[in-house]
Amino acid sequence: MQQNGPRTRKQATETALKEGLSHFEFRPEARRFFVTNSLNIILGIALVILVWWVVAEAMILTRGALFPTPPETFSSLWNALGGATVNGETIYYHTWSSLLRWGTGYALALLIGMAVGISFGSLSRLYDTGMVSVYVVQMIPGLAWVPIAMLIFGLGESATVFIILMTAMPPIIINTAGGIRQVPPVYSKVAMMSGKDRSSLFTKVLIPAASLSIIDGMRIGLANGWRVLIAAEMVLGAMVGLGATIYDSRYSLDFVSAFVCIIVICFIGLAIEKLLFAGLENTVRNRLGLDKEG
Amino acid sequence: MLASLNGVSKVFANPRTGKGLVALNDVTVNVEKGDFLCLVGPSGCGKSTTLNLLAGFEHPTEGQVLFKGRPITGPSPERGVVFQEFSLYPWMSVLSNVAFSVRRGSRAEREEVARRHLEMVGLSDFAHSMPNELSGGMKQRVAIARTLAMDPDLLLMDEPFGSLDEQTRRKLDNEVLRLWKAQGKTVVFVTHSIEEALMLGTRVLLMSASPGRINREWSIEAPWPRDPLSPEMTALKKDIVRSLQVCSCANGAPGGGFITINGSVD
Repeated sequence: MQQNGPRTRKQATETALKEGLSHFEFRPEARRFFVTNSLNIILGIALVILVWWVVAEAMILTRGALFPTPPETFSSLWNALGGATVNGETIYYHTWSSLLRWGTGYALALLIGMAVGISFGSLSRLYDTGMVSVYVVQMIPGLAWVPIAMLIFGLGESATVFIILMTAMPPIIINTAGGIRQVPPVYSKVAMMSGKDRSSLFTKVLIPAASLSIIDGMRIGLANGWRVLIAAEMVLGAMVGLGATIYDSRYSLDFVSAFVCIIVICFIGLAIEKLLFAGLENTVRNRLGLDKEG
Repeated sequence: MLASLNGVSKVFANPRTGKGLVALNDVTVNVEKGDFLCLVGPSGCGKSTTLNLLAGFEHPTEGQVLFKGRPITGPSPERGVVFQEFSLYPWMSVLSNVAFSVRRGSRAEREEVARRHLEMVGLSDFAHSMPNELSGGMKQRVAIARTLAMDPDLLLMDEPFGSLDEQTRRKLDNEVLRLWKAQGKTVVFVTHSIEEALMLGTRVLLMSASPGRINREWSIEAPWPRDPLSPEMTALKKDIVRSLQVCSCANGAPGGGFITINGSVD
């Protein structure tokens, strides 16, 4: 029945029923899914822009506010991408400064968070007391770290990095520890009876088995860090950066620049989430065999 | 004597709920080299606890668990376990799963040993498949290959085919018998199916629940393959079922399990 090769789902289903087959093949519809998926993204973004436009026009009409409209903002964004300065610097320099702060804080959060998470996850005694502390730290809102950071580091880069670290780390610890505790005991038993030492138990068994949960934690930590970065730049008086520019618009009344920065922030967040993490999660899911039918 | 439990008791006590459970009370079992020892009994009679003690995953509350004359302090490749639940690592190929448990050698050498053992269970063609692409029976065959690839002196099997359908279970039972005979291993096999125990074991130990105890032992000398419907086997089965009913009633075992003729337990 394979003489024509794979066909459409409908044809293949009909033939299979007619010929009484138990298995059949058809052309995968990956392209169709890609198209609907892209369409969803475009429609979703269009909806946000539409609401924005309506609100902008309404504010201009009723209050005479300098509310930037989408066309104004996008043309300004276009100029900025072409090299025009925004708030004294190019948009690239602002973005780079923000990304650098965030990258440093997040890298530290990953390093410390994973190490602490793995030890909490494997030692029950440590978990029981340690997790209480982690939950307490997690309850502190991002901006509440500002005075603490100022007291320890003064104003400046270190303070910003510290705030990012403190808000990105708790979800990484919680999910890493939780993921390791949820690994089926039989996985550890197999490693133990095979005579594996503790380090290969972790690297070959526990961490791969907990990887989906660990990625979840990384994802939440990343979003936390990105959000608080903008706030931290605003408060800690950074001279450059996307957050600093948004904050400066209060005085400069250059709201269009603020909106340009907001778009860049959304775009970077979306790119990291959709490209980096969705891809990473898919790869891991595949490796764990979670997408295949048992 | 290869392994033994001498007057072993095992108590699980939960300090949070204040509840204690006596899983085993004064159990003595001797495992001789070459035995195919089957442990049968209702749920909660301590069969799996006995196996976990021999594997080294649990330690006795009282008494001694010995292997080659020395107390067991922890799990070891000398005592391989085939687990009841599916225990292959889903992120490793079938071949890597087996090679993971081979102790010595370079990666290539370990894979060679793994390949040989996959061939033994008839799964050479699936070396590069992922565990999720296999049926339940195939997964357990890989688990057996993995355990044999460790070259253990004692093979501990904890209801390895409990979650499989009857047909597949029988096929795998025969495969285990074949490997046991070919390799001259010693096997301790836990099952709740009396019939399975009768088809396989050189010795059958009946355990009773609440608290777990050894109730009675039978030696079976009949050659394999055994016919479950032969008068000898039928008589033996009747004898075992009768002992089981007597002990369950005598203990008034709460949730002690109900055994039907073909050996399934609720």
